[in-house]
Amino acid sequence: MIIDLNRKMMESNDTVAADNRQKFRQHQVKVINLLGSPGAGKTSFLEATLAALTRNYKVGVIEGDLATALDAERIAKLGVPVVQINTKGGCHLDGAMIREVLSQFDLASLELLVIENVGNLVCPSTFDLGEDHKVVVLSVAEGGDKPVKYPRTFLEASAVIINKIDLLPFTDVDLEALKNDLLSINPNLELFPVSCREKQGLTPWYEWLQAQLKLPGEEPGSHGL
Amino acid sequence: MHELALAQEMLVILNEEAARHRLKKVTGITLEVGVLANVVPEALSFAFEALTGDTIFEGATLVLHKIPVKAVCQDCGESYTALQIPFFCPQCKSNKASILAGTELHIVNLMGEAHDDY
Repeated sequence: MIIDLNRKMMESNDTVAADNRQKFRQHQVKVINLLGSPGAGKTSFLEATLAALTRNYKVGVIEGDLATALDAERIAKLGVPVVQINTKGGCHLDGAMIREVLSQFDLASLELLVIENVGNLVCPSTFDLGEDHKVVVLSVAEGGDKPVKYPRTFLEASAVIINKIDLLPFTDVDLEALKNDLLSINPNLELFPVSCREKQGLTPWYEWLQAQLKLPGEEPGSHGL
Repeated sequence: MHELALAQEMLVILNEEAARHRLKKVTGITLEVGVLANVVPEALSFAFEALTGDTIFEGATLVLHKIPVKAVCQDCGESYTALQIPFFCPQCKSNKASILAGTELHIVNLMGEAHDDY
């Protein structure tokens, strides 16, 4: 006998992610799922963002890695509440892993939760965590062909941080062509060329993030940076 | 690379359906997988096989239908489909596209035998 199912394969993860999302909305916490290859500079970018933001916003961080608490230790030094998830070899975070650690945060007191996913440009894009925005960190050192090779990750992102632009003279990457490729995959992307090392180009990103954190009816910039 | 996790997600649904329909054996499963879904069919079949030894799914065949990318050209407005990456507008060759379909991961149906009392 043939039984018609027509069900989504990711149904169980999507259900958990939807529960997470509802919980975040209830507590008015904005959530960013930070994606990118190993070595793209996700943690350095997060450190720079937290240094600028934590004076005026209450931020929490979830760090996803195969092993070690190295990233969480870096974030904890900034005085930010952080929980490390070790996937023990798993190539991505999923909705249930996030749900499990949420009780370790006082969600009611948070305004922003950043989830740094496992360094990987492929798998994490399939697993919804309940985030408001996917933000991809892409470094020019990885080569300019990554967006066309891994389109799915960029298809669902809200913003792409083009990191390590201080290294542009040493690479074959054409920044304008890279931007063009990104927008050809997803015309709604916000693009932020930055150098976290040189603290270059980060202000437009902070402004964008701040606009996302604005609550309904709140004056723009009332928090300051 | 994440096909093992996908196979696990899939088995949650398949186990539920097999129980509901009182199946004693499942022989085949039909899937629809978008070209942009980042799934390697061989890896998914391997993971499925590894997870289903000694279960009612043992030996079941996975049939994967590729769902093409459905896109609208941002430059000339042409709607088109593409079966592989990278894709270009057939009219004007532009690579700027709004993507409407191609990331699907669906379980279409399963084939099996029910217990006699069903």
